[in-house]
Amino acid sequence: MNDYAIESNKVSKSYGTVQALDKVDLHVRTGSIYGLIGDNGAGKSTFLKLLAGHLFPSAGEIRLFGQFEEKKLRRYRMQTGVLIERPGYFPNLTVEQTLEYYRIQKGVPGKEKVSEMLQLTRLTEKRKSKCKKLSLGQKQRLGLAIAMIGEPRLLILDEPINGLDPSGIAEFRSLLQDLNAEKKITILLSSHILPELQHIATHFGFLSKGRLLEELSKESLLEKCIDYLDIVVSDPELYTALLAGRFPDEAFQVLPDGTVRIRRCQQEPEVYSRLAADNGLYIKALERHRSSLESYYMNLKNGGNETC
Amino acid sequence: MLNYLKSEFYRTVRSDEIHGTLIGLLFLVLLMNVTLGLMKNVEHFRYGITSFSYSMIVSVPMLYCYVAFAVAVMLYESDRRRGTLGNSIACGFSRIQLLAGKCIVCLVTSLVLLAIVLPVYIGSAVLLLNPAGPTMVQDMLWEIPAMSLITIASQILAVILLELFEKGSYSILVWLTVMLFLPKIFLMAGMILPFESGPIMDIAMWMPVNFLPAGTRVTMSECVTLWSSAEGMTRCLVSGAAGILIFSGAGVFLLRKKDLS
Repeated sequence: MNDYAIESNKVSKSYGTVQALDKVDLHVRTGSIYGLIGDNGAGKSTFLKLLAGHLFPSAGEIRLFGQFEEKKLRRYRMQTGVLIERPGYFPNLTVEQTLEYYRIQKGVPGKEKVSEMLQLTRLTEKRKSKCKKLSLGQKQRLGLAIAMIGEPRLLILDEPINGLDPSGIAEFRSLLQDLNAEKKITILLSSHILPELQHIATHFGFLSKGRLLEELSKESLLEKCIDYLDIVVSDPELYTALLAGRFPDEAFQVLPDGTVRIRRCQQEPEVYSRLAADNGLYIKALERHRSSLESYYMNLKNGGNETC
Repeated sequence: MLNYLKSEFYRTVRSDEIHGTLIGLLFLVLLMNVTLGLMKNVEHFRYGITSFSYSMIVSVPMLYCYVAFAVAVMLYESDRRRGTLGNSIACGFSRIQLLAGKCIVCLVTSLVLLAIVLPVYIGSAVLLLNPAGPTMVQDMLWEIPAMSLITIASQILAVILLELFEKGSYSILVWLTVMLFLPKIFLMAGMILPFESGPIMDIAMWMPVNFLPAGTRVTMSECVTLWSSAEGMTRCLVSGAAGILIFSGAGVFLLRKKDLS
């Protein structure tokens, strides 16, 4: 089995004089959920369209499951489900007919697959409705059903939670996690809703102005994000003296309101709590903060590359 | 590609647009023949005869191209905009496979429409009108093979243009330009240019919209069709075959690496 479902090797794409992608080297491990992050115009959709075959790269090479020749790429695209920008449907066909159309097109045997997809995306009740009558959220779910009907090994989803209500987003998240866990489907998705990506993705790639700034795993992201602890203690001066003596490597400061902030805390919170208690101090409040994916991205975009 | 063809036929059979076209064509045919039939006994009304009904088709052979073009527009005008073309590409079909598939689907759909409408046309004319006049049913039936390749070429051009341009209106305009306006410009240039314009005239006279009316005279008193002579039929077939080759080649060249923005 190939380690990477998707690899791009110095892929560039330009539209006339506009450089949409500039030498992008991106790697999506087989079995992972990869979140592609970037502003509008960063090149996310362009990259996903290159993968789907909608566009041809101006330079560089794309590999799907290790293959890069056009013919082999097309063969692997048959095992790929795609939802980019909008679900492709025929307004006058019903939901069921649309799925049957794609089932035939993808050569999937057995009509029961259509019912299975309808159930999976909670569209069974709408199966006889014409596609043009569906709500935005239902259309997104139809798009996912279309992407899923070919039993793909790889799912490419561009802004898939657009138009979904909060419960729809939660269901969609668990659906993707289930597909990844149970069917071992590799998922590449882009989204503006970074907290949502933070929940679901196991790997992240950050695109800005057509360039890939960084790729990292969720673990690395958590490590890189500054973890700090705010402690409100009865005697901040004594406490900082104790801290300096006991943990000389810790970086801390006393905020104007007397709160002791420990940056890059290397101990569990109870260790700091015990230090206060053992010396007759009492803790009024203790709060642990972790930087979000959003702040990490903003920092990265603005030139930082180490921490949030 | 077989899967693509099967899925497209599944859709076409359920297409409201194609059902509408079929009903519309049948309605027009029956309306004409029923109206002519009802009026055939009116004094001095000369048109209640089969010849007049048949001449409607025989005198305008380009009608086949227009209907074939309409079929292509109805099936594929929105293919890019609604994202269905993108899905088919993402399924792993090449641009050329899709182009060929679309042409086959359009052709078969047009043939099915013809197979349903033509018997109704001829049947209603035979049943309702007086069998008289110079234009015979054979003239109409021979028109089909004569126009077959020209119609296929025009439909291939339509499919290519619909895939090439994002807006359907551009495709329609370019199709009309290539099929109608450009040949007329060639013809006029051949006629009015002061220098040696023989080659331009020769080229113009291989374009269907020019040579078809030149070789066809259909009136209430005579019916001369281009395809009734071997030379005329050959011109129709050679022109159509050349059109198929030229448009297919251009389509492969233009669409092979065409981005779907």
